[in-house]
Amino acid sequence: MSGPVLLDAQHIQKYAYDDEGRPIRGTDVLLLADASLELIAGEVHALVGENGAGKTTLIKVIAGALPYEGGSLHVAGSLRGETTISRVRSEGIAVIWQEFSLAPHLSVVENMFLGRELRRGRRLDKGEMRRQAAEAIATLGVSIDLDSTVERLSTSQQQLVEIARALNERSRILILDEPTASLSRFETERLFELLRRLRSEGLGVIFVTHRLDEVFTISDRVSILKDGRSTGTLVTRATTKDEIVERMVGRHLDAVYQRHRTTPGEVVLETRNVVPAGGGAPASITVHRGEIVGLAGLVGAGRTELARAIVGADPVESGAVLLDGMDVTGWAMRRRLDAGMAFVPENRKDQGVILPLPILRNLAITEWPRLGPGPLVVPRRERGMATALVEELSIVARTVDQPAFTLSGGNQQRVAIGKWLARDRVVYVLDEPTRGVDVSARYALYELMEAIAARGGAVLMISSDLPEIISMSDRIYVMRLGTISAEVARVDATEQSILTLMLPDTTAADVSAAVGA
Amino acid sequence: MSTSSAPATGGSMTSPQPAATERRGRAAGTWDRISRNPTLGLLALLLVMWALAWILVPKFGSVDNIRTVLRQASDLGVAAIGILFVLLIGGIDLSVGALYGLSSVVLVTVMIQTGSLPLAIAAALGAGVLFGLLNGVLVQWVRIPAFITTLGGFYIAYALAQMISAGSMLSMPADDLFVGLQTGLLLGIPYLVILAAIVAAIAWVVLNHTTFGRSVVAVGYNRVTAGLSGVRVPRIVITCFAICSGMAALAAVMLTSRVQIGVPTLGGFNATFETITAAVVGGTSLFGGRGTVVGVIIGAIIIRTINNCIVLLNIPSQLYQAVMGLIIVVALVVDAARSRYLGERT
Repeated sequence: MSGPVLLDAQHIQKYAYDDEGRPIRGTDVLLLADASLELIAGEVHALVGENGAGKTTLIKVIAGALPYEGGSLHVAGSLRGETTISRVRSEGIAVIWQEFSLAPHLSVVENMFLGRELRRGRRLDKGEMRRQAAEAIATLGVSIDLDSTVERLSTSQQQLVEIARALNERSRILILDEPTASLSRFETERLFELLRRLRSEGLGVIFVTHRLDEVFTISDRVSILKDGRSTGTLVTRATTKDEIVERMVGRHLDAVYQRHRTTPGEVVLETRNVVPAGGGAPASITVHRGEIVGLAGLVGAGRTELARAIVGADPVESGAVLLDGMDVTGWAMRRRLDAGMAFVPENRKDQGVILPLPILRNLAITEWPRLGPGPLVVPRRERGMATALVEELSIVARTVDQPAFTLSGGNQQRVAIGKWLARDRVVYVLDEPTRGVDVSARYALYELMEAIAARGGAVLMISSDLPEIISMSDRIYVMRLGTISAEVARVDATEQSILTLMLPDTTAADVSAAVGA
Repeated sequence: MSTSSAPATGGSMTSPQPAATERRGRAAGTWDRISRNPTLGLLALLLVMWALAWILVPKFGSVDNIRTVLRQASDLGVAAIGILFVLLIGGIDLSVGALYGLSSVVLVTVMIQTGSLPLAIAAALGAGVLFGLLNGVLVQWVRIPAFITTLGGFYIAYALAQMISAGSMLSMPADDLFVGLQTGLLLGIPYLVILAAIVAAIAWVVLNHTTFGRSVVAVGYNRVTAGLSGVRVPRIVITCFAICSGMAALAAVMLTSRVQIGVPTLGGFNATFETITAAVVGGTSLFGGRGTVVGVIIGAIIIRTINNCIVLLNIPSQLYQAVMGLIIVVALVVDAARSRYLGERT
């Protein structure tokens, strides 16, 4: 492991962008604050970190899909400034994204040469492309029908086609973004076998993963990111799972929000063995009046699916949802909302607010049926309600008539929540309410949740931010691979224990150790 | 275009992006005001057209001719208000034109059978609404794209009209009321125009001052958020298609009163095309969410004015189609430019 340095990213900074595409300057809104990664020929380098730590952003910077604003990025010894994807291809960097970049209706051969077709004279050299494709696939030690359209291949086979394409392009650096997320155990082992061979041939591989076991199985070194900062590069042989987790969690720079506690009342929301529409394991949870319950887990663990099943945005496959003791499983979403549910979805711009509509309409949308005689909406009442909410939520806006797209992310989120505050609701289901929101808006949202709990409302909060979920929640449910893996009381919750419960390769022994029975 | 015609902010422009902020920041420029309230611009366009026609086209300015223009615009305006509802939710309805023929022959057939005008009109409108419900259900629940559903709907309505009338025109039994609808004047204004104005007023109230109207716009801009906020999206979508077809049927009744005969081929694709053009010229976005009743009415009057001038100037009528095509392209370009300017889609 002393080959030439293929890639050297040092102290990379990457700004977040505002709605108009200008970088936001300021320390609390950096996507990457100080991220470094060095890749040597002939190594598999694992990259780990919590959700939102900046793994994908760093990879995008390395892949040239995003520019960077600070630090330096050397590829094969030369500094890279502005660049384009095709230039990156020529640098010998290939990225296998989680979402593959193959054209589903084209054949394997066509995909392998998409955008760089071989020609003989003015015509495509189909024979040569076919020969090279067959050779690249054969190098992988697998058999894939070269003429099959890509959509008919399995996920694992599609991934192999991408790798074959990278090999055919003579890539020296192969970056895989959570490549095992949708692979079976056998397919994973086959992939690892392949990566070991590529390593022995002198390629450098960056391997992004959530699964710490895989770090120890495949990697030579591991770099850890936390809140956009590198917290270390360790030699895998010389470290432990605990050390890695500690560096993933670390200490947050900003002080943890201190919550005022209230005593929860009776149960108002209950799910009994709910299996959401897409499948998953039965989930049973309860939320009490005046309680904030956290729902932790990795992206894809089934948290959003459970939330949508609770509010009726999607049907359930089986199980029951109870609101205030009533079985509401068969109710349409509107009826559940009228009965006192509120839902703030995770994707603010697409699902939380209607960007071209004025703040006024965005806030009043939930109350229109109650704002006038019969089907009418009395403008004065609508405006009065919205104005009061804007004031109560300290939404920064000149008037309630300006479109929601003119607001900052934090203010948009206040609108997305605010539409449920005109009347007291019984249950608030909030999916990642503080994602992409700056620190001050974040604290305002925390106070809002507290106020809801203080007046007897129940809050179910999905969050990938561990310090947040621990400081805000009275109880925490942890979801892992579509199932509720544990229920943790606040006093027992530490970032380490919750994270351990979230990770997919956690064993039963880890669970009992983490819950600390 | 946007740079040169935003004088209020032009002076402080250093780069495009800060300029965009300022544009949004203070709504002061003329272009800005017009782009936010395009109805003003449309009204100005109509007045300029009328002034030019008054000067350049002989006989355009006579009271009789203006009356004719407005009378011809009335059924088009009603149909266009109908399609406004479908366009607002981001849909499209190509079947409108064929419903003219269907409603026309239903009207006359029921009239012949029963002799009752109210019953005949109710049947014609009922046929339209029913057809619209069917369109809506196929689009919303069976998930067939509106373009396909209503294209199929066009041919089905067309065929039904042929079957009901056995392919021939049906003469309308004489009815004073029905004749009066076409000829009658109140304070010099044709009844048909008054009827269209009443329909427009109701549509305006529905769109601007009811839960339903606000929901239509919300669904048009973002149906996911609307649904998650408690708007019953399927109900809104189906209702809009029913309103569209119902209004097309009403327009057919109005047009039938003008010709006093049941015509299975009344309307046709030309009517569909004119209806959509009127809505788009009137500032309605084909992407959903944006469009006004007043704009659509002005759009209908603009189209009928052009129509009228072409007839008065003895220009070959084939040219009319080309002019219409040109108008719709220009209207769409303006709409796209406006969307970009307002920053709704990037």
